[in-house]
Amino acid sequence: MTPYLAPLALIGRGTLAGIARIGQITLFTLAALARLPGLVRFPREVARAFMQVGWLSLPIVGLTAVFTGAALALQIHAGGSRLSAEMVVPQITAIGIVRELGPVMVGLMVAARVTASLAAEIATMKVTEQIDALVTLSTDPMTYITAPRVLAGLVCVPVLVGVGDVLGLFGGFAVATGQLGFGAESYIRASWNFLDGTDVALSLTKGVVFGGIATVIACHAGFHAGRGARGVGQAVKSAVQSAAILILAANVALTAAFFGG
Amino acid sequence: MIRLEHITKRFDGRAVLDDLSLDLTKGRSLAVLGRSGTGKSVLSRIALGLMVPDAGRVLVIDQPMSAKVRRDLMAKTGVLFQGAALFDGLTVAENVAFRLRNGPQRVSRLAARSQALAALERVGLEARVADLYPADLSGGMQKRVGLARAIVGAPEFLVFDEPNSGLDPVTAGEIDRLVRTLVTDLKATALTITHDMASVATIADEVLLLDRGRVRWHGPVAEMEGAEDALLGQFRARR
Repeated sequence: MTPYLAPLALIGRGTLAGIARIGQITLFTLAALARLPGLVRFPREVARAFMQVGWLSLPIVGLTAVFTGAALALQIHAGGSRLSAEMVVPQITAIGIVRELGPVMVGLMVAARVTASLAAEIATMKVTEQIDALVTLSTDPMTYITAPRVLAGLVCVPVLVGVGDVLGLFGGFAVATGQLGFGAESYIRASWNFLDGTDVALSLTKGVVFGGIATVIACHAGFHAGRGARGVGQAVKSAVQSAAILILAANVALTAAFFGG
Repeated sequence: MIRLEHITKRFDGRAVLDDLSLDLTKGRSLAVLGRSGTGKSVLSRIALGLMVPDAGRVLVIDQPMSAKVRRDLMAKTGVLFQGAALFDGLTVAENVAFRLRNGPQRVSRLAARSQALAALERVGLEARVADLYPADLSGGMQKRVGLARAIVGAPEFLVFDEPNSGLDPVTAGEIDRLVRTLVTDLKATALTITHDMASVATIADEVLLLDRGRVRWHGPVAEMEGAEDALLGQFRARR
């Protein structure tokens, strides 16, 4: 091969590998979804996954949402004051939190916390032959390991997004009424009247998609981990990076689908 | 019971198993002996259907390996993994009873626990360990729990991957004797992966010496002492 073709070959190989990975993850997702009916056999694993993905994520999601909402209200007030438009703080905070920052912050927090922990757990199971042990014990690892976690992602993350939205709005409300001089009743009324059903539907839809991405990517990385501690570390790193990028890309796609004109 | 015909398996272009054929005769205990990295564990994974060979085929009671054949094989197979591979989130009793509760048998919780306790007793563990978690146990105890999990439900085929690795010589000897007793009592077909000659002498009826992915020597344990093979001689010398 002539030297000037080498970079093109590299790009070509990278593109083919990327397409192959997308195909693998798509098949993995379909396999996980096909296993959902089999979960009736493993109620304990389902409960454990809901606890791990949903309940235990509440504190970090709640704190992130409150701080984000408060900072957003301050920024909108500061920016609005340049245009003598300080009064839009409740409306823009509400729309910013519910449509964008609420789901995205929750998605990224879930990618950091849940994706990392699930990928590490499953990769360790792979490295210590626990996944092979499941097969030899007549149990399908996709049903026992992947399906409960994906179900928990699809159900719990939209709930977390809903909680994050409410707490984010509360953060903005607290700053606006405590520091920026807004009246409590008028702030709530202005926020409430400005939001409509589509905003909430978008927010929760993003939660479902982000939850699916965070858990499927974690399980896929865990199942395909390399050997030893290094393999576990690489699986976690790759899972968190992929989940965060895919969540941000999906966010653009969903926003465009709902409001792209 | 299981026949491997002309199996070849490559990793990164290197043949770990090279045109290997092997018969696991029903009721016999075969030990596969060899240096590290000679494909012993790959051989056991291919025999169990956990890995697909690049060439050759695996027959289970004259049926070519398929998803269904593997499922049927797993229902009557017990495996002791090198690191025991116990599930961290489950208690010892839940680990041992796992197949009974989640496999095709679907035994009730109470009956499964009772069988698990019996299996634990059989491998020399007291009932008080049943509600501990794997992390609470020593390496030797974890091996015993792994052994109990392998034999629960009286499987016809047993696979032991380095059953005494990482154990002190006394515990290793105990595990070897236990494995032999269990294989004999269950009248099971057994495949043991090891690099330990003392294990071979205790556990196996016949030995297969693997070297560079090929069978170097194969014969009854009784004939191993007199065999004129340099590598086998080195293993004997290290005993």
